[in-house]
Amino acid sequence: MKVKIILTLLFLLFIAPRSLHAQTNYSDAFLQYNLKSEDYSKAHDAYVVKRSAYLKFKSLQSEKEAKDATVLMLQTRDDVVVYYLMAVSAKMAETKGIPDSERVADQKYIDDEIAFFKDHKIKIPSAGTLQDLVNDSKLASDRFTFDNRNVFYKILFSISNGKILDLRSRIGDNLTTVKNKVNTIRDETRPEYQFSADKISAIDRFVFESENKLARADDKEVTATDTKVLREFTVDEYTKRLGVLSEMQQLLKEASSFLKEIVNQIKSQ
Amino acid sequence: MKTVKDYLKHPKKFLNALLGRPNPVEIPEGQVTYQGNPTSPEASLGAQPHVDNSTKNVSPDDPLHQDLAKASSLIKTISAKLPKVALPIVPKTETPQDPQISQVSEIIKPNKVKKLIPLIIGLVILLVLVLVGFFAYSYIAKLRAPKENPIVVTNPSPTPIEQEQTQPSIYANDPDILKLQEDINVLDREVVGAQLRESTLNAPVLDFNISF
Repeated sequence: MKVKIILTLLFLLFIAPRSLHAQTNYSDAFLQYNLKSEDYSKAHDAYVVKRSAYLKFKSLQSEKEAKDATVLMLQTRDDVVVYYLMAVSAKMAETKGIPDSERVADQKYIDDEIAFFKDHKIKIPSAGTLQDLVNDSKLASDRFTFDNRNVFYKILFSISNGKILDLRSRIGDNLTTVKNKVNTIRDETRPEYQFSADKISAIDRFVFESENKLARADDKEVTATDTKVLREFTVDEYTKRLGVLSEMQQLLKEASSFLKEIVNQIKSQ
Repeated sequence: MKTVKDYLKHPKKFLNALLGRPNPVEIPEGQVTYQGNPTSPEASLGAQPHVDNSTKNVSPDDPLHQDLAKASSLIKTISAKLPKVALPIVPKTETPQDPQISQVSEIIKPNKVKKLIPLIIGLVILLVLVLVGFFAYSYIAKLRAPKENPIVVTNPSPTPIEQEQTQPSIYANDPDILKLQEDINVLDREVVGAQLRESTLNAPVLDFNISF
């Protein structure tokens, strides 16, 4: 009894935290995804060989071997999709800036897809013939081609959008801090702490330009996330919206350079 | 005393002198002798008013006797021409016999040199004045000439970056400003280096074309 209690405590202290941490760590999830991809590659090679043998000999033995190879290949294929979705989920969990509502909706998409392919994987061994396996593969193919891809690229866009939104938010915070400091300097009554009117005017111009750049960046954000005419989030749609986010990134670079110039103006006479 | 030149002019006399023979006495032109025959030296010797007796006993063919007779006659001739008052003997300097040297010596006579000294001094003064004038003229011309900037050839050097020399304000070391600057710099690096596309998370390539 004492031994069981001690082992339980050790598991809770060392093993359980690590397993929980692994689920939320993107690098570990990505590593598991790559390992599953290698397993799938090997299983697919074996499937190709056994299929050829069956098509050549049409014997019971070759049919059995082809069936076993096909089952293993389909199961590893489902694992690849599941671990890929888990890696995407881990990446989304690590990415800041994604709105909570969007994060929740995306996570639901991921969970639904993971549940489908896990259930699909469990059902595969129950197939009685090779044709049953072909039908099971067709089921997974339809799900992957029409549903999964939309989910994949939508979540990838959410990750990219979250990055740029995080940068936009932090630049906005810095601009607010700078404006507060400039107002403090403007309100100074001590002569040695006061700036000349020209200096204050130059700083105000840089603040104004920074605000303009951020406003234009916000416009780009609205354009990139517009879903009014969106039917499918294909790879082309993903690339097009990523281009808009790149324009927004350029505007944020310019706004950041103006903030640096404001600080330089404040630090120099 | 006879010089080698004299002997070269009269080799016969030189030969006689070597052999110990008597040479005929030469009497310069215009010199008056005691006897009428000026060409006979023996006659002139015989016309001497005073002859030493010791020599009369000696044979006239004896060369010594002849030499003594010549010497005595020569001494008498010289003594007759000398003034009666004895003067101090002044050693005579030998003057060059070359005609060109004699001409130069005539030119450089003390009187003529004295006459040339003022002329030489005048020429030297004139030369000095000319030199001083030349240098003064060149110096003034150099001062009046417009100054030209010398062309200085220097090695090529990189163009310096012009940076505004700004003095730090009173807010240069302000903690709030320094923290704000650090935050802005960190964020700027993140904005510049942000990768929007997740290239490692492309959708997996799977084989869905299963058939038997």
